[in-house]
Amino acid sequence: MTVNPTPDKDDDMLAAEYALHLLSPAERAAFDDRLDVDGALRARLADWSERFAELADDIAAVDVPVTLRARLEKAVAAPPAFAPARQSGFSLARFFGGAVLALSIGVAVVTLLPDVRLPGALAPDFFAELATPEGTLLIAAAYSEASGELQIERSAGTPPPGRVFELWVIAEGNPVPVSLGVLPEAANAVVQVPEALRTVLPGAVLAISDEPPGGSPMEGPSGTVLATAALTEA
Amino acid sequence: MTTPEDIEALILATASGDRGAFLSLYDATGAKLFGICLRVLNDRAEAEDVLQDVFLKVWRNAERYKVNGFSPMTWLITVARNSAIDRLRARKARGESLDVVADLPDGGPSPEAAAIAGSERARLVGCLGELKPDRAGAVRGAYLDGQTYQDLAKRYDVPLNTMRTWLRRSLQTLKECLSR
Repeated sequence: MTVNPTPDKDDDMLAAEYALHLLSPAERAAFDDRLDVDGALRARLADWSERFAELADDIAAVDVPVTLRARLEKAVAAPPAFAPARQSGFSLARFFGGAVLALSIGVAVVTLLPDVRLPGALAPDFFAELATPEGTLLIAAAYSEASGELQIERSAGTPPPGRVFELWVIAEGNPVPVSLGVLPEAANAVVQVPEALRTVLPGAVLAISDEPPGGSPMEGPSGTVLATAALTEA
Repeated sequence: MTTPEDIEALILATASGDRGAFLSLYDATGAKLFGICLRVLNDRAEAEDVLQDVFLKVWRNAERYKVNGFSPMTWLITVARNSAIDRLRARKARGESLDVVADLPDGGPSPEAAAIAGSERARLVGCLGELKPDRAGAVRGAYLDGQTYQDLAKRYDVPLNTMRTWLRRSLQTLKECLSR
């Protein structure tokens, strides 16, 4: 039930216009920004998208020239075969087009790391580099399966005044990103990854978002996702 | 027969880098998505080019499917349609108006599409039938042909704001019908 039906109704119309691609580029961009933080809006969009997709049922399939399949086969065969989600213009909206499911996993503990390196036996075996296309943020992450520790080294970028960076993992099987904690002000930190997440971390996508102090007040990032990168084997 | 579950399984396998699954996904859905690109762009070469982009996006971003809340075909259709509309708008921005009036016939759903369509579907078309034909036509024009408010205003020869008001009212009526 809603106490204020008018904005809901407006949002519903806006979501329908967005789904139809009728909004102006500026309106579309503003809607994308809202999708990043508004789960109800994402659900409205998913609902309209499903409804409108019915219209596509009437579009007949058309045989594609066979050369395209060969081109695709070649494109995906070229190593590196799979490089998920390290792209400019990443929008959370595309990640979260629809309803978000509940998930409760304890937030990881982030500790400050004095400038000490781990012993060789626990050398990290998965790496990710989280960077904005403009180079305004550069965070290297290194994960050791043996120790369950994720080392973070921030070589460029600080949060805006009164904001913090929060680290997330987008793992297979988890419908929403899971917080790995708020990054400290110091450039280096070690995240002790919770047991439940250790098996999924290799190959998972890490993300950094801009959040209020204390981190996102909601499940999943509430602010802009600044960079994402997959943790890939060294 | 390709079920939504099959399509979903192929998307999930693609997300884990399974090239065979990716090509199977292409085999199962490529012709349908080509039809959608062609409907929006009305140019085979351009539609083929966009379709290639669509599948490369699917290959790179398949892991996003899991968290977006769309059903598998809706996700693929949305990726294809958005890519085609982006290309259409870019073409218009370059001033290359093909002055397209979509002349592709609205065939009935292909057996494949009918198989893929979920049981929840087929309500929208019924609700569109409750609108005046020109109003329903505007909704279809926006979805199927990627027409903008400007295009629609021109097509129906009404001022832009009138078109906007019309369409929003139509959407409201649709919503009420779908909620019944």
